[in-house]
Amino acid sequence: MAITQAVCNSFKSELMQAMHNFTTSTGHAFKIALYTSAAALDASTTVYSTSSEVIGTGYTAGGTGLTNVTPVLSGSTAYTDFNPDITWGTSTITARGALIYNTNAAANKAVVVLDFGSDKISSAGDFTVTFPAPAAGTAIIRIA
Amino acid sequence: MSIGNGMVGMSVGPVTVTTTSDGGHTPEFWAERVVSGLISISDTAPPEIRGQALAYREAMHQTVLAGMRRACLSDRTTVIAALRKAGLEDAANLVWKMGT
Repeated sequence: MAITQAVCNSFKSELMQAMHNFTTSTGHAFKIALYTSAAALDASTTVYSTSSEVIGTGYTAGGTGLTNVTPVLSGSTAYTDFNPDITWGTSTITARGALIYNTNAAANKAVVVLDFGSDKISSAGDFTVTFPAPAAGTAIIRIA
Repeated sequence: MSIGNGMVGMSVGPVTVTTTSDGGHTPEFWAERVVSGLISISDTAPPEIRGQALAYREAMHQTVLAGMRRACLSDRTTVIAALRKAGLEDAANLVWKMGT
């Protein structure tokens, strides 16, 4: 099994069907879920799954909610961000990657897969995911 | 007039994961995160502007860090008071030893 960072293929199609809305406050509710190295996540992932999701102190199945930042255009690149970053406090977690997904209408449609590069471990501590700078060349989700 | 080939690409930005053991992140960590969210400085900015921006960023960092530290200490004071009210004097003393 492996986790490969990618924009989910289904998300590309769903975006054209207006099934995802990243607008602040009025947009859909997105979440980030953590997975172990046993997970199989890549561009072909279509929905959130509990298979190989992290089980640990301070972590609840399904992950945690993200706060949308309304997409903007910079030059010819559109991008969106999530702010603030996410912290699972007082946690004991081992995770190799994550899935950002859209909880709208309980469909839990996959958006992007994140590969942490190696197992990241918190032990009675903080597990923090910091999103990249919101800019055309770095933002978490970009269309150029 | 030339027209591009119309290719569109989607990308995922690189997230950073930071973890701790037997304790949380330091005020220094959070101060850096806050300042990073408030100001970014282009690598290609003219040297004189970049220099001023870096100095401003450092001043902002120190101000935020000082506030973070005070907030941590104030929160410990609140926790200690709550523990004492609950009759947990040993626990209150333990938190007190962490610094207030």
